[in-house]
Amino acid sequence: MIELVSAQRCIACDKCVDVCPTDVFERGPDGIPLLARQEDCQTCFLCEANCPVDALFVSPLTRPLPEDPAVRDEAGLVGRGLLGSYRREIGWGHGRTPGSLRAIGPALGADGGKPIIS
Amino acid sequence: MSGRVTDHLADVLVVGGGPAATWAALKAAEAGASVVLADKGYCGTSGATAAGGTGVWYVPPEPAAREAAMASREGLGGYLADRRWMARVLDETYERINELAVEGRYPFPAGPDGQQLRGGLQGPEYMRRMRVRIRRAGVRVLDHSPVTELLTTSDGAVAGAAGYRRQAREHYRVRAGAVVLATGGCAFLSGALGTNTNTGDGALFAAEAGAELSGMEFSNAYGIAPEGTSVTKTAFYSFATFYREDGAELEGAASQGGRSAIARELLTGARVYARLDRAAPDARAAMRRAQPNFFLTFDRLGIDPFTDRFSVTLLAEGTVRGTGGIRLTGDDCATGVPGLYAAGDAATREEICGGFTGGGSHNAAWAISSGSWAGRGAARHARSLGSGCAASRPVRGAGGAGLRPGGSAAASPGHRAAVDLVQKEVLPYDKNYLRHGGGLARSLRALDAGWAALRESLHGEGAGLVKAREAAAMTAHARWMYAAALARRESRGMARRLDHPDQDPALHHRILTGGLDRVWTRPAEVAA
Repeated sequence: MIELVSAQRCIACDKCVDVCPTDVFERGPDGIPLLARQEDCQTCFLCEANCPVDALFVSPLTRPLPEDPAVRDEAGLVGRGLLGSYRREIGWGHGRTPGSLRAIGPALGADGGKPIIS
Repeated sequence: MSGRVTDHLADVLVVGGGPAATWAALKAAEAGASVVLADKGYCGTSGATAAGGTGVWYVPPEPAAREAAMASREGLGGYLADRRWMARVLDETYERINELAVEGRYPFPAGPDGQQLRGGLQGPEYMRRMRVRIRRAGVRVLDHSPVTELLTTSDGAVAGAAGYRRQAREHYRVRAGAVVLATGGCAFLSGALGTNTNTGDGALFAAEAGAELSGMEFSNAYGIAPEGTSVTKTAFYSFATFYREDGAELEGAASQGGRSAIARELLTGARVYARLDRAAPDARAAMRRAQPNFFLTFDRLGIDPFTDRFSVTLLAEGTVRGTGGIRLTGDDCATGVPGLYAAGDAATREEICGGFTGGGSHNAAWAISSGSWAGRGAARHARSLGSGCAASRPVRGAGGAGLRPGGSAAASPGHRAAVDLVQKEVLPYDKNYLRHGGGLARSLRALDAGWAALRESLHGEGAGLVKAREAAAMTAHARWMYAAALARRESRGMARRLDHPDQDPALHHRILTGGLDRVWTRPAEVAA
């Protein structure tokens, strides 16, 4: 679930408000998006992928994390290389190479060697 | 309905925002139609494809390769597919993927010989490009605009749709010459990756307009995910060994053909652990390059999936990874209701998959092909009506349950209670996965009662109306699934029955279903 909107990084571009497929965000009074409907988050990571300044963090857990500020510790996430990691992996962002150019998956079973298999 | 209503006019309305919807919108626009695409979420991130990655059934037009491709899953699908449709899907998919590479400039990877490998797509990149493509083609995109019902004429033709723009907070109507339903399958808000927008809305709309469904018994797929997370990437678990809580290997467990052993163990209340210890170092690196989203879960939880054991769960994928859906009556993906077309997971995939489908591959090819055909078919239909027809036809809303309650809305327990009821009957492994006639009948009775109750009183305003309609759509979907599963008194394709474990040659037919207050089933022949 989406757990962090970094007010420090956010440029109030509304991109996450637009792209969230389940309409989790609401524009806040100061322009910083609010997690208005966190319970509707489907943990698809696509807000993160579309955030131009890596201000968002989606926890892989599909239930909200406990009210413990440590789990939303921005510096800690940066230190572990997790803030913006999905966007980096798929190669979105200025000067990056699309990850799809490298997306050649492992050989699987009898079909073998398909580029990507879900 | 209260508040402001904005009106739109189009030759073709496409409902949905995933691959099938965008291909439909693109091909309708290229055929000269004015097109509106209305998506519940955001076209580009909505649906099961955008959030993941997918192989594509992309086979070069070489007779031996095509023959092998068609033969490969016929048995798995219970011999319910149709080779004529397989051949045309292989043709159409090959052309469209090449178009995506050349005109769409999708950045496919290159193989050792420098040739592009066009058999796979990364979801975010694919759908981002499809959004750009349809906007360039002049399609008007309405994001965050869930459709709540179809509009029909007095003679029963589909003539548009009504819905609610949840960010603009206004009701809207699109009057159109033809409508394509590309709303995806139904995974019952199970949390399987990217599927929470897929609540079976299109099947409900189609049934309310008089269309039929087919193959709804093929609706019991479950995907493997780390416990408490969303990323269902079952194929990668072909590298896994599964373990019991005590560390012993779980006998019979596998990603293919051994998921029921996992389900049975989980049903005892015990945890099941996996470790991808069969992946060689080169495969490990390739997995990360191909599907970076698979590793988000592990990286963020501090798990090395190749060396650590982690607990897993099975998430229901319903008709997203099942093959049931709206019955098609023509090569142009017509539904038998004038002006109504269906594509992608919303339509039955039995034509190419029969009663079984894995992830991606065939489903991706089906979305591309059926979307393209439905878009062209809808454009042709709209043109045949003549200009100005969409604007001048008197229309009325075709929606029922959740929208126009039969009794007093004051008595409604609300959409959440309706969703809880349907989830209680379709998510548990012992009800939908390990199916048994007695259990199916019990669940169907509970769902019928749930339907009767919501039909009487369920109602909502604004965003609440959307949730009420989702609850109604999921309840209807589950009833069609179980009615069809009861009618299939055998095991065929993915529709296995513990009380009828064998395939019965006498039941080599498809099962059609439909109806709202009273659900019916009847057999239909498979084309030779």
